[in-house]
Amino acid sequence: MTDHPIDPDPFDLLRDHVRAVVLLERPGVDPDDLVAQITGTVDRADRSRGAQVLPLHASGALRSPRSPRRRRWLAAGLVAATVAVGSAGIAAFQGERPADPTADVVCRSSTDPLSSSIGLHADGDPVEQCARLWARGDLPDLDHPTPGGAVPRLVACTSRVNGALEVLPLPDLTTCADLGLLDADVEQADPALALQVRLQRHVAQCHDTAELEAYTVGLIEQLELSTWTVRVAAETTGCATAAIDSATRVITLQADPLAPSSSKENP
Amino acid sequence: MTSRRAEPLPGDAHARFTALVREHQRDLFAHVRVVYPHVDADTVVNEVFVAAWQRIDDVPDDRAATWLRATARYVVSNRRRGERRWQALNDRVARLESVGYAPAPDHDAGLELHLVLDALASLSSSDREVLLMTAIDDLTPEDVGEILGVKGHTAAVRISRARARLRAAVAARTEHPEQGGTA
Repeated sequence: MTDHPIDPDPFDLLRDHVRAVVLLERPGVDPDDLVAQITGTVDRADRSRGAQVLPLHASGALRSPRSPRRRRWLAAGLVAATVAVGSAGIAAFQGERPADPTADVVCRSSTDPLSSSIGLHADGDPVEQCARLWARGDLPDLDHPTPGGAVPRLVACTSRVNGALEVLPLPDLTTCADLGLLDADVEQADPALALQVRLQRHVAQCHDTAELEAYTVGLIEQLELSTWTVRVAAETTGCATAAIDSATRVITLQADPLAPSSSKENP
Repeated sequence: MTSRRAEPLPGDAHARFTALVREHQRDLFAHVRVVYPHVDADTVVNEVFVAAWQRIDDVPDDRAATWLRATARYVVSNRRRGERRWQALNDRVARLESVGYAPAPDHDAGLELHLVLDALASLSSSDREVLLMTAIDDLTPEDVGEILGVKGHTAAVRISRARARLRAAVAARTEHPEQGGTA
């Protein structure tokens, strides 16, 4: 990469320009009108209701950035389970994408991964949150609410496929593991598995290798996995994916072959 | 200034929200307009303030601007996923037009600006995001990290690398103007 001194610095020119451009533009709504519009139509007290009326994919917008709530309920988790990373070697994150990777909690109507679901931001115990939706009749069929319906036995699990936190109705004696899922508090039990789960969630969105590398390095530091390393197999400006080799403790970043080609490579 | 009010009074939420909108709407609009030019800034700002109203007790007084920008990023990110991918983001022509960039090719400064904008368009979306984010607002690396959901030092590295790549891309265009859009 060439890095010749340029005068003025391109960034300074960019900064001056964009600030000049936006001076010419104003929001289309007067601030007081916006306040009246929002406070007059949105019920602040019923947050879960607000999340439901939005499409599932929009629920993440209501989450406070880096909210401590999620950690709170994870820390208060159900049963500490030790789940070791499989010895199979490489676990590639190239499977199906979650419906909403930013939702803290996905309340599912059944164990069928294609069943209807409602995404919420974590606000206390996720099982209780979803139980309220069942009690109110919004589940199992959001299109045909049945108030006063029975609340089944609900269990919080983490998907192995996409890392989503899901609360599902499970028959007695059935566990997350029986369905190929992980217990919800798995992140507490095993940092290596937490690495896998969080990477899965992260790559659910499109990131290039540079961004994914920065995130992965930060994650390794955060989880104190000092013996792990990150390797970029091939830089890409399109969507990247990650593969963990638990035997060598190497995380390999590469282009996601399942992601649609970005217009950068294919204008 | 504390990050939370200990004893919210009746009507306090409404007063706080009103002050929040009045203080931040314009800047948030500018931020969204520049950093995410392919979304409707008014719509995103509206959604962000709806979220702020619903979670007004969670909006920190001393970090409100950062909280709003991080929420805006979530809103935009969700919209991108709804469209499968942010395809149009990488359409450099559309991008330059949509932000209202109008470089004057017959003017020295305009020519240089054109190079910068062309170089910017050649970068990855993540580089563009941090460059535009720090260009429109006086954000610290910690602010950027909070918005992106990464640590401050990670954000600092990302900003530094993005600026270096912008300089390199401009330099490539200066040395080889015939290459146009290829860095």
